[in-house]
Amino acid sequence: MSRFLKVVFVVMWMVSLPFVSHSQDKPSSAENATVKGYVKDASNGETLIGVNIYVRELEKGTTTNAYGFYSLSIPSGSYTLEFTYLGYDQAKVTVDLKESQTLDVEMKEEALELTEVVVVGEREDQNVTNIEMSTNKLNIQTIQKVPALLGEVDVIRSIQLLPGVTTVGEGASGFNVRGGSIDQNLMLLDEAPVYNSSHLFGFFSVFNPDAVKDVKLYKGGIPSRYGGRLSSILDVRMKEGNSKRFSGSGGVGFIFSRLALEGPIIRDKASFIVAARRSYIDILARPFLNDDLSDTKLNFYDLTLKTNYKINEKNRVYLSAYLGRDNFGFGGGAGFNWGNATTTLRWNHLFSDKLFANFTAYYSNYDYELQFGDDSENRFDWNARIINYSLKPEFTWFLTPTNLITFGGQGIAYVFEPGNAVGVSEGEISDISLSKKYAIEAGVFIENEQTINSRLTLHYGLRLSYFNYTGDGTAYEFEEGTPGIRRLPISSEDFDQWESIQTYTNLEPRASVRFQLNRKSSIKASYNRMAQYIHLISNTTASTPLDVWTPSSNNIKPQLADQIALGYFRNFKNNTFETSAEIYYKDLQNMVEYIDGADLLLNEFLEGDLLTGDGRAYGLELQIEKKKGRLTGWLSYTLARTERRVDGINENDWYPSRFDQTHNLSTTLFYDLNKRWSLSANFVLNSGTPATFPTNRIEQQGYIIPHNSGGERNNVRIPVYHRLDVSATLAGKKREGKSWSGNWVFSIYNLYSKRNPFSIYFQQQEIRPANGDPIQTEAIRLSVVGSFIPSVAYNFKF
Amino acid sequence: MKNYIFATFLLSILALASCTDVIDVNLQEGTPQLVVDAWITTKLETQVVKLRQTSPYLDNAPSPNVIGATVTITDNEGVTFNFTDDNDDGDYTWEPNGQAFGTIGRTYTLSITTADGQNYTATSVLNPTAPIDSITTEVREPELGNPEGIYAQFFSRDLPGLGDCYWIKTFKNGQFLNKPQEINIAYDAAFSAGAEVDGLIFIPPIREAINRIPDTGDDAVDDSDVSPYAVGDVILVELHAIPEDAFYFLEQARTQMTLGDGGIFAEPLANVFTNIENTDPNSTEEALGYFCVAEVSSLEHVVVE
Repeated sequence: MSRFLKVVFVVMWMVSLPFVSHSQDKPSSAENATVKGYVKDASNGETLIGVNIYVRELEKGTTTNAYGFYSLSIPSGSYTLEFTYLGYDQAKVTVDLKESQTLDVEMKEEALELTEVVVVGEREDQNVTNIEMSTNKLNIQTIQKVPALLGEVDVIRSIQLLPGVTTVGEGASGFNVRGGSIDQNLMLLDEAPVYNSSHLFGFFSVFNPDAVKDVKLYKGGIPSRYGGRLSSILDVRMKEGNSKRFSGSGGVGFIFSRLALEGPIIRDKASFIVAARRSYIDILARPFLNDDLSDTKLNFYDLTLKTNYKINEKNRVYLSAYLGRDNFGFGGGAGFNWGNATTTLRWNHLFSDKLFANFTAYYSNYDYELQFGDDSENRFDWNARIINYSLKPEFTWFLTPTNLITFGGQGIAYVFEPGNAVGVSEGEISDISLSKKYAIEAGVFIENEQTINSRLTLHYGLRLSYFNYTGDGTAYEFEEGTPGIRRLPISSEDFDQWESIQTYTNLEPRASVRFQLNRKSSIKASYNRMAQYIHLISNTTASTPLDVWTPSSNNIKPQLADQIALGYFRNFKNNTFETSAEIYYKDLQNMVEYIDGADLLLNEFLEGDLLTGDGRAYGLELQIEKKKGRLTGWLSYTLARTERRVDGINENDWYPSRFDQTHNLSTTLFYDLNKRWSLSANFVLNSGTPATFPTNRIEQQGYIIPHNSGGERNNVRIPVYHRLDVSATLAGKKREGKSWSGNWVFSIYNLYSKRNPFSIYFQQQEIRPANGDPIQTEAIRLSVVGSFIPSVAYNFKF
Repeated sequence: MKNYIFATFLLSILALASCTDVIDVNLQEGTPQLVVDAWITTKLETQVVKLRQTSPYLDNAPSPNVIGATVTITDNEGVTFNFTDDNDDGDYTWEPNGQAFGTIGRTYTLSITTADGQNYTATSVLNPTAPIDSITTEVREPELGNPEGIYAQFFSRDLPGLGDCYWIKTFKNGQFLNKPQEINIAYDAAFSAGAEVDGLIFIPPIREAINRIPDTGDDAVDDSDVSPYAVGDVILVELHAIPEDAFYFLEQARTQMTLGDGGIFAEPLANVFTNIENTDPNSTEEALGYFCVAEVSSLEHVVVE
């Protein structure tokens, strides 16, 4: 604990620094004035996140926050404020600052003049000057250009092209960041967590690209305002809706039809966006299905909705909602469906010119449902869910141009329903439902981004998190046993509603530093500790929609991660090329693992089948990105290792995790051929992921059981994975006076038809052997995508 | 079983896009170990304890025999059954001669002394089984990808008391349904412990798992277009009252043999446990396999129109 206290003192001292320096500054800055406002897109009124505002005369600046708001407190005088944002023309505004004033700025999207050299602002060196490291920002325009599977633009699949991000294979849900499992990513859609990011297992993600404004992935140096997951934060922000005029966008592809409508409700005061998608594989397939499959139902859809209302200059409210569902029906009353639902209500309030506040309340739900049988005498119904409610106040205090303080808190109430299952057999009812579980999670945080001088910037903060696993419920105590063998409960205790069963508290220090070497290069370093209190119970290669979340308890400790990262950032050729090199080391504690033969579904004594272990992950990430010109894109390479050590697995020795990839190379390129045609391609090359192969066979009762004589886990690697995807986009002709514009996207996924193995498994021959005949065994390669997949999609805007 | 049903569900969808190929793989070499295959029943037929060695997984020759061992089973009342390898083929046998093996409720200990002087032991209790009341067949419309045809189910009620386990073995015209996917086991009347299904009639998925699983692949003959049963077929169902541990052994063995059915949702390969112990705790020689005793009930049914 003393180590913690030390950290607390250091952080408290650092946090107090700005106050001290501020009070010292006071005499000389008596005539300080504040300029503040919102930065928006001129065409549709969408606020812009992360716009750089730079005061040339003072060589100081700031950036807009997640709501497009900025505030600068500077001595009175005349200044030129430069607003720069990638893909937009620089805006220069001259202000004569005598007293505090509001300055809302609208920025125009960069006109695409291919024949001319693009004139750019000077502050395009965020890669080097920004304190953020281990962070990737993707705007929706970039995501839309990446060649996509079946032409469906996808946020998660685009993220998998970034350094440090891997997946176990095509069709697998989620993504792995720097050796973390998929449940260690906090995926936020307008601040509400999304528990399952996939439609149709892992083929498509739940985020509708028509409604997404901005995507940011934090892999390290995670600010203290985020907590609850170990490995990454994926912050997805939705569009607010065009506040200038009614408009729409949409498309028709092989999988989805999409339509989004947006527009002002009250001009410059209120706007909305509604975006919907639905798959129609079932409709297309119906004529081709045999009679016995004609009852088959297969569809998925999502609906995204957002509206906002500007009450006055100081108050603005936002309401966003998401609903998504996957439906599978198999006839005969058998069906399976799952999905997320979230609702977020936010209130932005300006307490003063310098103090911006946001209050968020959200609800998030993930559930699934299965049914068998349409006969009341013989049926089985099963569902499970996780629900949470949260309140989250957050304050941004633009104290001085050199100190940007963020503080606040969060409270979350969880309800877990791990399985409600009722079976009816010949009229006899059996209820095998598991009891519900409840928990409270809370956190308070403070952080400061402090510019010491033009070379040195610090960002430090602290988060105090608390978890309370509460009743009503039954807590079990399990026997001490041999690791790796199922432990049975030896006693149980009942608890009342909201009575504490087990509490945990963690201090999570976070810190980043940037040191500017020269105008073109900088070095950055960061440390973060993260705590995670809820766990996804999954022991399969790809997570299934049936996996349930479970809270930390008297038997499951919270997972902890400490990560350090060090990076070198350099830009070349007037910021045309951005390069970065980062190394990281991550230490993981209390990872959840599973005994052999674990029973994870509908098991009241699940905790007796769990193991805990340690993890470690380290690696080198290199990236080069070309930002300007007709050819843009990036090339990234990751050299990494991620391992686990668990008592009871692999003879208690370290073993590579299932998603370990030694080498991971990916390149994504975009080329504007002429005014109408643009091309894009991406190529990925990965080391094979580890797998466990048998060595021997055990003959038993006429069966051949595979056996590994060393008891090893992940002892072999499946072959290298590589794939090339290409696409071409033809923009429709612009017609004078018409707002309709469309484009055709032609793409081929897996161009050279590589049969990449997802896994290799072993089995007895599939044809039934005659009694007494020797049984043949074989190795089978499973490829999720067996050939190239061409597609055509039409997208439109009006 | 729960997992298995849903994996099948999920995969019927994924199957559209994915493809599988048989490939050549070089597996690491493992250390050979003794394998004991001793599933003793009360059936009036020759009872066998097979002793073999593990062999390379993809080596399709039968595993090597282990000969020259002494094999006995003794109950807790001191009654001994000697199993002898008269043909030197690693099959150690005992003949019932009209008197079925064992007495319900007694504990049986298997003892093996191999030619190289290692001693192995395992124990099991002989549990009573439930009678099979009936086997019925019906003609069904096509559903869930199954063709129109004759489908069978058996009816039996789990014995009262928690933790009764059963292995339901089905024979179609004398041919044992021997695919790993066809291993049909029950914990009380359902799939696993914890379900409040004690003393009930077996639940429908267990009742109906006496229909064969069709062949797949290019060489398939008995594929999913063929009705599971036809008029005139003889269905024999046996209900083996296996110990609880044997239930878990078969459950894990089935999982490990059918990992590929999970596709992208497959669990990692893991070793199946054994109940065979070397009596010398310091010995490095460890055996694999399983020993248990089970009472068996059975019922035969001829499919008529």
